[in-house]
Amino acid sequence: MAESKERGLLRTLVATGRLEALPEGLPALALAQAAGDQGVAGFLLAAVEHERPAWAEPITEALGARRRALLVRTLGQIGLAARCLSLLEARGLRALPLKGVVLAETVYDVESDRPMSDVDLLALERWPEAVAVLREAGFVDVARGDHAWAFRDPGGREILELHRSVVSAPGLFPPDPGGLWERCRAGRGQLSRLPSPEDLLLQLALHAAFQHGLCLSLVQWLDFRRVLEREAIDAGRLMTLAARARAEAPIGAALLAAEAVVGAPLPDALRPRLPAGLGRWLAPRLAEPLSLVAPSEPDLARARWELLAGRRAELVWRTLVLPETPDGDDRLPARLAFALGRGLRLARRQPPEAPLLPAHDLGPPPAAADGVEVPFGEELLRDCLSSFPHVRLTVTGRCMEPALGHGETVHLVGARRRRPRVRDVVLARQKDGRRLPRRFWRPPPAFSCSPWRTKADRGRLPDPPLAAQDVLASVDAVEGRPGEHPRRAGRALASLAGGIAARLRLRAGARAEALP
Amino acid sequence: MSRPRLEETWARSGRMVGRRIGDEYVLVPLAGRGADLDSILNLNRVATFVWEHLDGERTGAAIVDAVVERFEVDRERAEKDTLELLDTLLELAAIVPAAPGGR
Repeated sequence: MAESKERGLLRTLVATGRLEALPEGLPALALAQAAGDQGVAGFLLAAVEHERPAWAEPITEALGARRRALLVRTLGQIGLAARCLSLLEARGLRALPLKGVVLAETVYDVESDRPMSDVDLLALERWPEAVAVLREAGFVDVARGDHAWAFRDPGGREILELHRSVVSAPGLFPPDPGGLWERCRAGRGQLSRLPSPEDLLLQLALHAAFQHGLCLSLVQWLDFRRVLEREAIDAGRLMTLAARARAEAPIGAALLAAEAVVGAPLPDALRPRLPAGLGRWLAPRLAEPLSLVAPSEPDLARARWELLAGRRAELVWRTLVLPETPDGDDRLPARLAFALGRGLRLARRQPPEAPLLPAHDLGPPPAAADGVEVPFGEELLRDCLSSFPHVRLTVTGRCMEPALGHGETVHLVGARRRRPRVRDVVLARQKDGRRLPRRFWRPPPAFSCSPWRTKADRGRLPDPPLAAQDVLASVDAVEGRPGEHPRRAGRALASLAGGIAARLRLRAGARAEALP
Repeated sequence: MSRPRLEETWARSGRMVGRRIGDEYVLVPLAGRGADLDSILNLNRVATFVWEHLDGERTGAAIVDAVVERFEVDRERAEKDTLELLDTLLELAAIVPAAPGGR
């Protein structure tokens, strides 16, 4: 598979610093694109500038331009984090930066070497007030999870994730707000405070192991190596913190994976003894490091199961029964309904699909008049859809009226979280790259290999066929219209009937024109 | 705003971030709402050298001395180029005046 060749070459480069010859049949442009997708375009450019292979000439300029743009964006993201932390601090609310912004400012040579899709902050206290501060400053809610809420910044350019904890089900690995604050250190760049190196490494490990099932991009694995190489990690302190957070297994598994993928230097004091089941599950993956590199599909449920050996009842309870959202309904009937719904969704979960389309395959941005305006990049949209139960978007066209009106806000559920059903209104990526709301018509089971079809309610004809991965999400609710679901049989059938009639009229017209 | 003079001392402001990335050196202004892609400034080797010497302690004349010593350039040309660069940086608010002999 060509894509694996690219990832393989990039992994070798990141792990060993060696830029191998470009495999036959692999275009340099594809390698550059894969490097961008994996967040290591700067790494590739540095190697190309150093070794100057002839095959890299066509991509050097583009990589340089990308690096400049990334520098500007990443500095802006760090600035956004710094401004938000100042806003919170002005109200007496303690918060710390998380992951990408910290890493970009501390362990990478230049900020552009650590691209990120969003900005993460950890609120250490008084969650509702922290949310209120952001809203007052003009941030707009876009998605909510049990461990973090996502906001669009007032300029509309970036997404800020305000975390209550590093990973889902916050109670499983309880954060230690007081300790985090006491251990934090002064920053030397835009960020005035940074988590301690041990806290940073622990957060990275929890995120990698529990949140992503040990399947990350290359730059996210490189984070571990950079922290181990460039920060003075106190192994004893790290293991004490891990024990306190009940995270020995996640940190052990993540460090072993980082060693396998990018050659992270693992001191003996940090070499873990994993639970037997986790060790057995992990061993074949360590032997095939590319299986730990996105877009490989993580076996998330199994990974969590093995990471929580000895605490599985708690895992099931916190995943299914206990909604740990700040605004969740914690009454027993609501909890049971939540558990039942979530259990059913998990039971119906579809098997891993083909890898997502890489970002370079995107078309132009959507035309505001035609459909849903996606205020940020598709890569980020997919990230939000996979990370959060719901994502909010505003409809700016009239192609789906009256099911969806111009200016209405919809709640989207990612296609991987809930399989789109016939008659659903979905967000579909069209052949020309636009992302539009459409009525969804699945092919009959007998033709499961057939392309998927969609149609605008107010359109005359069905859209061109789509691949399964082009259906990004389905509309779950329309704000301000409680109790009304856009998936209504009458409207859907009327839309389908209209499409069929239009198609028949077209064919009849074509036949009439063809007659002598 | 008056034009910079060589006897004055200048320091880099916090509004502008300089980064060496690969073979190039860029200045990125940190605007009110993050960095600004449209205002990115690429510096050549001499300009990078001057920027790195704008430490709030050296006067413009001292920097010109260092440029003449480091690069093959006559003093008149070095003075002219340094003043032009200082002028540009001042317009971008990338430098701020500092008291001679230190901040």
